[in-house]
Amino acid sequence: MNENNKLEKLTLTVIKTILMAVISLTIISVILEISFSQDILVNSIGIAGMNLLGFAIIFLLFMIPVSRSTIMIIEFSKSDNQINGLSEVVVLGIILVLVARIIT
Amino acid sequence: MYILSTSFIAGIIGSLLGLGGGIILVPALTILFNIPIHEAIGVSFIGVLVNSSSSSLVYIKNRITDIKLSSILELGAVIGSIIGAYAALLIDSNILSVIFGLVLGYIAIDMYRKLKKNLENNNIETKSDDEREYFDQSTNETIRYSVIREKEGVILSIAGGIFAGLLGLGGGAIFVPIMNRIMKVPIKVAIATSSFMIGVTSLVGALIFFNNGLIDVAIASPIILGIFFGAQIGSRINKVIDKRILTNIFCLVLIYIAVRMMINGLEIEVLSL
Repeated sequence: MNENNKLEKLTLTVIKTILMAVISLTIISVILEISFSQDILVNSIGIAGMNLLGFAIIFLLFMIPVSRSTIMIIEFSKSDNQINGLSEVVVLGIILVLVARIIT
Repeated sequence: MYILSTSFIAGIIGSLLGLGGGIILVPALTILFNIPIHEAIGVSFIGVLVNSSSSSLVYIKNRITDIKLSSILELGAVIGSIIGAYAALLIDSNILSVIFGLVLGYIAIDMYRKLKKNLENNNIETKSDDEREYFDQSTNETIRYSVIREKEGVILSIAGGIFAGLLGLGGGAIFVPIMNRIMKVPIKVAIATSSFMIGVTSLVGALIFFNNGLIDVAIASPIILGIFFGAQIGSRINKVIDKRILTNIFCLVLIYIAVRMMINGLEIEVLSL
């Protein structure tokens, strides 16, 4: 039961932290867009066809499931929960392959 | 600003009815803003991901989510989501609109049927050694349950994943009945676990659509904010609103949207519908 508690606590903390960062950055992005200052501040730097802020928002948002899957793998392997751990490893592997396809 | 308000409404309705925002978002973006359906599905994945993360915060905090069960079902769901997302890229936008309309119609009828008959299964079977529990705040008691037919659950969750990947929806309309009716998981745990799982299925769909240039970050930003704050408001007014009346109204709205999507898909000219 304690292992479950720890897993829930860690997952909660990670989702909360990243989601708050995503929301804060999105608010900044919308404010900048409305105030027309985005061109000066962030549009000059572009990654993957997006401005820096847009890239950071999407990247952090995508990190939510990736981070919680990683936590689940670590915690399941610690508690010898091999079936759950293996399933999560496959899921994370698929996600990483899809990410690699974008990068290459 | 219009997309922000639409997403906000989608977030509220999605949260009130436990459907996720995609069911409102995709038709709204295509019908109201004339955004091609493939792009609407792409940004819908982003909305679903935000909705899933936001609602998971509440469910995990209340200790309703079955993380162990989600890790097993995610495998099938992710495989299905890949199949669905690639299929969506190959399917013509008109056909996709018709499929979307048909699925919306089915969801509306299913919602109405559940409301009339209360089909949700709250019987708890304790057949295996792996007994689990959650605390039900409404009854103030700890509910014990066991998960059965895990293999069947994984295979069936592929169907849920295909549905999610194909249409940019969460897939909860499939995952929840699989867990509740087939695996005998209590309905509250099924909804919470489904919300947690769809974070991964929507990420897979989003990555595939992103790779094909079908996610516009300029549209995604207001959707992230609208869905997040809408879901927060929705979860707070959930307790004070009469869900029966709301569901009845929403069933009619869904049927109207379903017909509009099918008309769009079939390219029938309808004046001021």
